[in-house]
Amino acid sequence: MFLRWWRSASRRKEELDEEIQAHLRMAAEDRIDRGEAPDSAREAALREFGNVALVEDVTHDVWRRRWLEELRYDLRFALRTLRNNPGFTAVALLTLTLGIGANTAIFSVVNAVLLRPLPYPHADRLVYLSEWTPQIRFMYISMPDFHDWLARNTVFETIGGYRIADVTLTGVGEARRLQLRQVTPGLFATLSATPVLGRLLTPKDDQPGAPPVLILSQDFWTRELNRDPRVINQRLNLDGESYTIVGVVDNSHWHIGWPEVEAFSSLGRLAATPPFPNRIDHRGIYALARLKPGVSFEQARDQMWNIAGQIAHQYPQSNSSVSVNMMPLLPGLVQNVRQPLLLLMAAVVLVLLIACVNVANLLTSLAIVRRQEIAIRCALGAGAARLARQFLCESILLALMGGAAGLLVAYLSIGTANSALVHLASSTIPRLNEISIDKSVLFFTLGVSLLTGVAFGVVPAMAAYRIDPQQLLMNSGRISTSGLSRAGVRGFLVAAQLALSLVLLLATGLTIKSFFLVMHQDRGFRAEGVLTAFLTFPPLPYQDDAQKRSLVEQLVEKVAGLPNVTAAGFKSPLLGDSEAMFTIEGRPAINGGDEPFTEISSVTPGAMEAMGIRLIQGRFFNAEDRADSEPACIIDDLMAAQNWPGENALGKHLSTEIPRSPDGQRPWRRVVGIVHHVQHYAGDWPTLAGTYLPYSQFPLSRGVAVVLSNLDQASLEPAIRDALHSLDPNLAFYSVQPLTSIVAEDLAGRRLVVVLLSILAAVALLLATVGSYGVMAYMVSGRTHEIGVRRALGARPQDVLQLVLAQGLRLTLSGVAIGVLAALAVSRFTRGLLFGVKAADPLTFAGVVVLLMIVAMAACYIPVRKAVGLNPLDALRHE
Amino acid sequence: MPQSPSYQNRIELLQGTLDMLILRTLQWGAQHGYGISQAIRINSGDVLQVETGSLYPALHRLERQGWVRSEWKLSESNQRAKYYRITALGKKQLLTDQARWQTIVDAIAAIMQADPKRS
Repeated sequence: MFLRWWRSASRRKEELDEEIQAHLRMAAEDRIDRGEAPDSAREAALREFGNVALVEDVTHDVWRRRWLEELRYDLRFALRTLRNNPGFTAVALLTLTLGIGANTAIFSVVNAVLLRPLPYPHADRLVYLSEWTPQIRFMYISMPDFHDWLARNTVFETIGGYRIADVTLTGVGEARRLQLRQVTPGLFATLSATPVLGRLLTPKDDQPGAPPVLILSQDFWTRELNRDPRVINQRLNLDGESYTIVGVVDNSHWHIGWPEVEAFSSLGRLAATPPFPNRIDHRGIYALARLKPGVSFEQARDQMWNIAGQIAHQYPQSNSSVSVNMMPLLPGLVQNVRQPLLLLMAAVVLVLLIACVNVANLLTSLAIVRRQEIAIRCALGAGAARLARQFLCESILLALMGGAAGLLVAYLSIGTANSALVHLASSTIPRLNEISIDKSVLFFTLGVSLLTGVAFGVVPAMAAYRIDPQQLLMNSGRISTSGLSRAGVRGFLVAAQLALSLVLLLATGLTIKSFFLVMHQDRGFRAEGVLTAFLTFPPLPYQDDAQKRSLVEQLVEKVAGLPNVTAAGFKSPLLGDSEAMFTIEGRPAINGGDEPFTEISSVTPGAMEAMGIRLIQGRFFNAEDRADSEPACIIDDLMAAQNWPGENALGKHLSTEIPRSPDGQRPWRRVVGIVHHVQHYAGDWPTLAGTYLPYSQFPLSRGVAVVLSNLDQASLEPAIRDALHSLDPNLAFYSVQPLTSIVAEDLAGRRLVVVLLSILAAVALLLATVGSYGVMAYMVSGRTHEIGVRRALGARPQDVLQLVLAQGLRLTLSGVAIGVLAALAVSRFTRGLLFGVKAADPLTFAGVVVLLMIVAMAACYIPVRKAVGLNPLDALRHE
Repeated sequence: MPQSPSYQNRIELLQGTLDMLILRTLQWGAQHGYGISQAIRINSGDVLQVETGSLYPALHRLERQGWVRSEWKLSESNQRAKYYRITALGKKQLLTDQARWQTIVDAIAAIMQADPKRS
């Protein structure tokens, strides 16, 4: 609006200038016609005209002044109106503050998480890279493939590979786990990282077999080493290998999921160390790359697919069905939270719409109170347009005030909620620590406030066009005759409000139901009463499988023998994240890469029992499953159904790609038991069919002790730690926590959405109740006279009650009908967030509809009850 | 600087009278600012010389109030000039102004011509 005004004003100025020049030319020509010399004629014309600039200025003011003066007048008048109606102003402001404040708060989250670019130079050119097979969308990259990508691509400025490799730090106090990432020099380049101290990785460090160097995170350097600059060239012992510290880097703002990483070492130096040179081994490597300027995402992806095709052609044994998966960094980072956040944003916009309807209702009521004033202004010559503008000015002023208060509320709630939010969901929602009120949030709030002001101001402003001043003045004592108080508008508003609330309540109802279903989902194991303790073995002396085996066996035996412990075992990994290819005995061989995958885990006897994994057939592992006994495995019912449909899988044989026997062969393993499938992730995140191997035959150097007991963590943890310490004082569990809290963490994101949605739905319901009550009460009071007449003519109270309730019911029903239709229309957007319920879940729909009807009818019943209770004579006198 | 005779004979116009004169001038047909000032000067026998500092603000005020409309056209001497045209609203306004002006003139005349001895 301002822009258009500005543009038309500047055009007007140009035109005025041209107009005056034309005047001067014509005056000069007249003089020339009268015989004056051209030069003096022009001069005389100019002199006669006077001060051109002054004339221009004065003329231009004619336009400018009006605009500003009227605005100032409108504003002053609006302020006075608001001041003179403190009750109205307070309620309207409170409603708006709630509505806009909630919007600002949620938007600041959306802005920080989804919209704000990552703080790297050219962050929009960063992409994630992984390998891809038809079965695994984000497969680790094998080292030779990574090097081929590096050598063959022409689309990336830099590519950095990285691998999670937590190690045990010894020689400095008690043994502890160090969160290490093995990276290639390209990773630092891709993230534009510079060293705080010393240097980062060089190509020399990346050579196979290069001496191990270490770059510390600034956080670790500060926390553990007091920012001592002399750490450069000192050595740290990691997994028994001596690393030289060469630099310190600040990774606190890195957003690729690991700001907590404590140190970085070289990945490339392992390129010649088995199993890395093996193209079929995909060991934990992902990559991050930066597109060259001018190269589009699609171009790069096409080239990478092409390269993957070449590699597959060259090495069909390992790569025939392996391709590349590429994803922009930010969308990849936030892909899991995008939909919930957008749902919350939509919900909060609904709340604001409901708030708008309430304020529009209030404004309409206010207009009725002011009808005499309005009538006088009309009579004195204020046009409908002028009145409409006045109303709009009032509503926008109100909205801006509400916006300012909302901003304050959002600011305060972000401040206080931030720690709570981060605590609640920091592990599931990335970038949560970055929430702040920045320029975009300010613009958003301003925009929303202006829009809101227009949205709820437009109803009374439109009504201004229907005002008949004469009628208004004549009927100043009567209600419900003028255009301002038409029941139709208000009825529509109530219906709209109910419809909006219904949509929000439904979405909330479905989400809550999903949450409870997920929470009580049978995931194939029992978390209650299970304590988990995470352990990683250093290579020395645990490079030797026998060492690991004996330590784990003794540990399990000791822990299982503790008082009050029902079952104990050792499992690796605890849940998910360990896919391996397998083949079945007697079936035709399949090319490497095309083999099916299974989720494998290594378990000691007692582990599956402790976790409550249910046996269907056969047996659990026991002491008879030794390293040198017949290779065995336990599969889940999903595995059995997929691979031996209609057959009994018990006693059949399969082989997994790991572990191999010392001669590199994959032994056939006999299926000794079938258990229920374990859902590794909450909800319907797909989990592969599972295979369990005895730890004695598959000793891994990390794992989790699982202990089922009726003791709480505080009483059990010291005993478990003591048990480990007595076996090897150099070992320590790095994390001990109940399995329930690990499961709960998985649900934190969902829980957050449910909590916020419930709050929003409650606010919406409250606003809608207040709104419908206000309108119903108003409509009943408009009919008080009529009710008196009916009662006087002999209508029984229940007849009247029925009559008026029917009106309310009609409104409610139409609102509910619109709401149900709207909810069905938007249900496809929420489908992805639901679990176990359909987007059109009849039970939830029915529940919400009934709830809303009860609320609406209650809002209707109270004023009706009052009207009917009146003495007919009083009602008749009521004017 | 010697002043022209018409400048010395200038009469200050009553507030609002200029608007009426402009509207009246435009009743003869569309005219540009220079033309309006010339017409007023000639028709008043060189008595009324409208200052540009009053004329242009007045024209724009009239346009804003919707009493005149403006458009760019070529003048008789083939110059691009902004022509003003009176609108229906302007004609109504002119009638009101004229009536009010007549009342004032009559009232002033009555006062000026009244014979003090008779009262």
